Amino acid sequence: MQSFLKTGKLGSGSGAGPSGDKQSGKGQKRGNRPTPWVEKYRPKTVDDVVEQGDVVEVLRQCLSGADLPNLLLYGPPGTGKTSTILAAARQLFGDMYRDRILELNASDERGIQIIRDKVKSFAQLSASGIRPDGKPCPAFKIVILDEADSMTHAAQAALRRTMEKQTRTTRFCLVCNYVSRIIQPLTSRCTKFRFKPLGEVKIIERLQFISSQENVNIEQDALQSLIAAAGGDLRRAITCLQSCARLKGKDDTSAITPDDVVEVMGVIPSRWIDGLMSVSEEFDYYKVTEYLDQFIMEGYSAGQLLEQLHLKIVMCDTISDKHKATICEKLAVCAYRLQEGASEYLQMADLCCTLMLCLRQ
Amino acid sequence: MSLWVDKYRPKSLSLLDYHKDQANQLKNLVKQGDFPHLLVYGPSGAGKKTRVTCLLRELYGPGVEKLRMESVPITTPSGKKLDIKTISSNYHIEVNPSDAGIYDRCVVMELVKNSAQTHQLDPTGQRDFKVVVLTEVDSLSVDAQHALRRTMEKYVSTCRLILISNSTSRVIPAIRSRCLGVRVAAPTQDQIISILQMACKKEGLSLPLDLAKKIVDKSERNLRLALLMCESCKVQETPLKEKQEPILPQWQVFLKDTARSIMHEQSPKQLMEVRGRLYELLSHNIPIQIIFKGLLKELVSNCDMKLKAVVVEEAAFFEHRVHQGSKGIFHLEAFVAKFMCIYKKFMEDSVIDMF
Amino acid sequence: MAKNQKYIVGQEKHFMLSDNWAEPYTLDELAVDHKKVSEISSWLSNHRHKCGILLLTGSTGCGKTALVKCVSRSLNFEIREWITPLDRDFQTGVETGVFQNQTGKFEDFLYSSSRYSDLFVKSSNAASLLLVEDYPNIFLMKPEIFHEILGQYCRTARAPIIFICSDSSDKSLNIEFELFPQNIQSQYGIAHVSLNPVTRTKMMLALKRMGAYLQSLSPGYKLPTQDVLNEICNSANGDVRYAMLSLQMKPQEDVVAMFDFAGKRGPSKKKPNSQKQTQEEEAVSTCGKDDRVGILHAVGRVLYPKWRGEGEKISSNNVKRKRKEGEKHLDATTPGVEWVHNPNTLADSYLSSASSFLLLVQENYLKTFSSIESVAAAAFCLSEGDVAVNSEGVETTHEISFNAVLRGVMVQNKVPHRAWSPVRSSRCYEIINTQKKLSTILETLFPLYPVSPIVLMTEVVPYMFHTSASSLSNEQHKFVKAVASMESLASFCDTFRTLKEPFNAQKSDKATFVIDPKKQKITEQDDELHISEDESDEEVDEGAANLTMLEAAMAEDMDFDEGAQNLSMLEAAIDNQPEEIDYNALLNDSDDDDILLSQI
Repeated sequence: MQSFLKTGKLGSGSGAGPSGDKQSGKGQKRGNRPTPWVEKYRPKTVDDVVEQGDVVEVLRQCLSGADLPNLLLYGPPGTGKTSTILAAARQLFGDMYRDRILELNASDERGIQIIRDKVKSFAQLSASGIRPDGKPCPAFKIVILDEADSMTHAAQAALRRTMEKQTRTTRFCLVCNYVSRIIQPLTSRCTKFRFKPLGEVKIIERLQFISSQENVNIEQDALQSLIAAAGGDLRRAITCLQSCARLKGKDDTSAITPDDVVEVMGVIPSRWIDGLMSVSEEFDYYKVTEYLDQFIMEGYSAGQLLEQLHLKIVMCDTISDKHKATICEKLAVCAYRLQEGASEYLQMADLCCTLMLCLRQ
Repeated sequence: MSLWVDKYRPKSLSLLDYHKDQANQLKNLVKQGDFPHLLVYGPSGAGKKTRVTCLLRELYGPGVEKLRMESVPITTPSGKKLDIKTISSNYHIEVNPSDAGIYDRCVVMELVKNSAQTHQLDPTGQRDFKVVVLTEVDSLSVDAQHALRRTMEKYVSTCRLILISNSTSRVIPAIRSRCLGVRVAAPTQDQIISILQMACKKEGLSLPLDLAKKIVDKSERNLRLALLMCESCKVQETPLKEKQEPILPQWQVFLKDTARSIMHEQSPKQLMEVRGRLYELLSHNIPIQIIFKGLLKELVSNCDMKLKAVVVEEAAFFEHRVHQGSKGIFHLEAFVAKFMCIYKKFMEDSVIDMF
Repeated sequence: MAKNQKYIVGQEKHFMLSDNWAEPYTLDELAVDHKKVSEISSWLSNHRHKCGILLLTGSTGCGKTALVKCVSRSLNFEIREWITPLDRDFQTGVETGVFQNQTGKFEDFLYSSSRYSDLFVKSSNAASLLLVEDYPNIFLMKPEIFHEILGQYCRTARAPIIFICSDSSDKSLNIEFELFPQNIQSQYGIAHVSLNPVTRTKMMLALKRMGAYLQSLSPGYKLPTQDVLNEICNSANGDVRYAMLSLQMKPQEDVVAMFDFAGKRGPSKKKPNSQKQTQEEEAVSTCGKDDRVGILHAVGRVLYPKWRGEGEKISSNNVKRKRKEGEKHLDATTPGVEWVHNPNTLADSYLSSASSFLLLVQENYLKTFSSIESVAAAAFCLSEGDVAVNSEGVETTHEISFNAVLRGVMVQNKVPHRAWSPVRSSRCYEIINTQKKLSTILETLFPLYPVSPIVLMTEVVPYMFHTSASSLSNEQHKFVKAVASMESLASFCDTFRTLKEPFNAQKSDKATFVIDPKKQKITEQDDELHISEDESDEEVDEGAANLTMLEAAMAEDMDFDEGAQNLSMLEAAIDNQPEEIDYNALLNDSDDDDILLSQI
């Protein structure tokens, strides 16, 4: 549903059965399915996009008739990259929106064959400069490649020829998190825009707006911890808000508390982190392992612990820089090993031993 | 006669013995028409599966308990045919994707696709989606997880996923962000004790508090293990006595003996024997992580803090290698050899210190 | 010889080099033990123009065929050999047709050859001797047919027949075992002569004769040195054919390089054998064997590293001597020292089977190390090796890391512990095998139990023994007991071949779960099927016979019955696996091609 929505039906939560979807068999039944709030509150015009000045400026000029370059939008998740380009496209093309846009994201098959067949054949269709309603519009189509950094280098390489050949009728917009994973020839063909993490104030505004629209009762503290946990990722914050509201149920009018938020976000309550530090200071191996056992029993994720501990260590005043370096190195190693599937207990025990030795001195 | 574990398994969300708030929240979730994908995580024996079963019952009613075992034929892209064992009812299907080994990717995709495309068998069911339960998601390959995220979005209209895993560390962020996380913490000591006592009461026994505490200790807050232990105590001696010692599984004893023999002598010959024992453990399907953890817990007992740190570091290092390589025994043995080597040096040094 | 074969539909067999080879011509030249020679001679003379069956067995290349040829020549027998005709003669494609045809032709051959002498043979006084070395496949599948034909032959024939079988370590390929079981042997009065591998002395003689022969062909030929001959002898491991080929194929210079990997310390019992045409099957098993010999020797070289100092020749004696003299012994750290067997070459030649090579090293290295410190270091190298071999990447990285690992192990072993010990094959696959069987057993014994197999094994089953022993079925009880007492499960799994019916009953007993009755029926039928299948091939696979599904699965990615013993199979199994894993890599590769194409 989400991907289907991404291909264009912004905010069309009510009504219309899915047509682009292969699973349309039961379409009628799902008439009033609730929409993810992320989709519902996606910005509808370029002006709605919060922050991200440069790119908004470029798009605005384009809306008023200027040519659009190939775009490469990059930045951390949840900063509005996809929303921006989708909103712009909507404004540019109005109702023809769906014919003029080809959106491919990492979930779609994006092998080299697709790039060559789908993109090429899409690009070869010519586009007129006039909308059906008589208003002028740019005479090109837009191919949006979402999550472009997960494309293989081979597929990216295949893209560069297509990109050059089709400039007359098609603009490409690459969206990715890590610009370093896009091959050089592609980046040099695009205008790059970096999306900054959103500021707290903007996120709060947006969340408050949504909660008033949806009748969600949320404590101010909870809002704060939500923002802290989301770290500038608006999508994550909104999703979390919706999950909290769902779990509360419609009948329950009590406010969402910080604990609810922490639970849904999978964040470890800070008392666990503090506890770990203080138990490490005691320099007793058995106490530490017991603490670890308890920690694992609670079902918290070790990966999350590493992240939070990292912040804590870096900010800590009582540890010397040298020891900070040692600990952070161990943190990095453990995080890597965890990612590859190593046992949580062993990795955390290893980390704690380092922590103990460092805190001792 | 079934085991206590099965006998006293709660069957509905309202009957759950602990984490009642969470149970309520899940109920709320079911009440709203819109049901997200779930990621249920928590340590072994905390009751994840029980919770999911209750949730399914809440969703579909008792019909969901009519289970059947099926083996679904799957053809991999390379043409290999696999049979995957699934447990299913009319409303849901449950798979352990790690059964498929390196083919987990296509198994996951095929199954979700199949169940999303078949219509609900029971037209009176109020839900227009089926549920696919995937267990042991943490052993799912990264490749399969990426495939999953596409599948999740594509078939969201007819199919919901419930992922069960021991930890979220290995679940990729893309999946985590698409699911509603449900953390199932292990029950606390008191909770376990009261559950044990309740079970005993229903069996017409009285459980001495001391014994209950011992059981909780040994079971490491694993409710399943605690119930099993408790029942084995009953078979051992009825009525239950305070002084009774709960039985440990034989493999744990075996593992401890192995660790002891490592500390007893450090030589290639001894290592040879240890290897034999390790093979034995492996052939009993004891996961290599558990062997590492068990060995480590015993081995550090005789070391000073500095040595402990070294040993732990080595264990963490070699255990990680198990996941990089393909033959666990290589790394397990390398760890034991390394330990023997440093431990021998440590013992020699401390002998010298004494004079 | 070609003349004698013309009866046959298939083409004359050509073994590339065989025609002009120094095949033994007289009895003296045979590398076979003379007692065996006289045994055969007397048997043949006794059966001139009479019906009689002789079964000749022996390891590959020990001179079976040559023996028969020489003896028959000396006794004036004319050999008529059966060669299985090619299947393309039966394009009708109807399976039964093929069977009948091959069988029919074989019958025909036996009948006519044994009764009528060849019109084209000049020496009409020669007696016929039938020789069968090549068996139509149908006989291997259905030995009954063969036995019937044998009976028929016994009634009608007027000429002796000799069947030649190669020994094979693999039961399923063993023709002797399949076609000539004891009862058949006694029923038809089959005489059985078994040849041993060629002895070293005889092999040497044969090689020298061969050398002389080659020289006579081309005068410029340099006779090989004794060293070279030794190497060949050792590496051939009793296979004269292989030895001859080696000698002929060996480049004139630098023989040692080629035979570097062939072992030195191999158990060398050999006999020369005249090489001759082979059956395909024989050739295959030959490869397998030689391969194994090679890999075992190579493992030996890794485990017992040898160095030589500057200017010294071979070190093992030196090392010993020096140690006696109290001098510092040589090891890799001594300046100017070099390997006797270069690890580079070792690594190069076993790169393709790196994984199984490491397994062998890992299984056996402990015995040759004397200190735990070096063991730890070597174990570290091996662990590294497992990771390296397993990692995806360019072939060259594998090569380098494999090389480094071998070196590591060799360097660490400063003072190899020298004692005779056989190289053992790794238990690793045995364990994996057991684990797989285990999960099938679990599925069968505790169907629908709602926990993962690991939890079942680590938590539930161990306690079942204590708690609900009485309510378990017989099989469950046995299993639970084995687990609870940490018995060796490997043997348990092998003996686990039981009726599944009780479990079905058990299933429905389980009150907690309702089972669809239809489904249950199906499973029961399945079970019957499985069981009947088992009965038919019971002999072949005595092990886990009714775990049919499991076996099918295993046959794909690792074959294994007696497998841990059989390295060549192991290798095949290992080679199979990466194929799958690399699937994506392959895809990517082809993507690259596409780009190239599209850019053109």
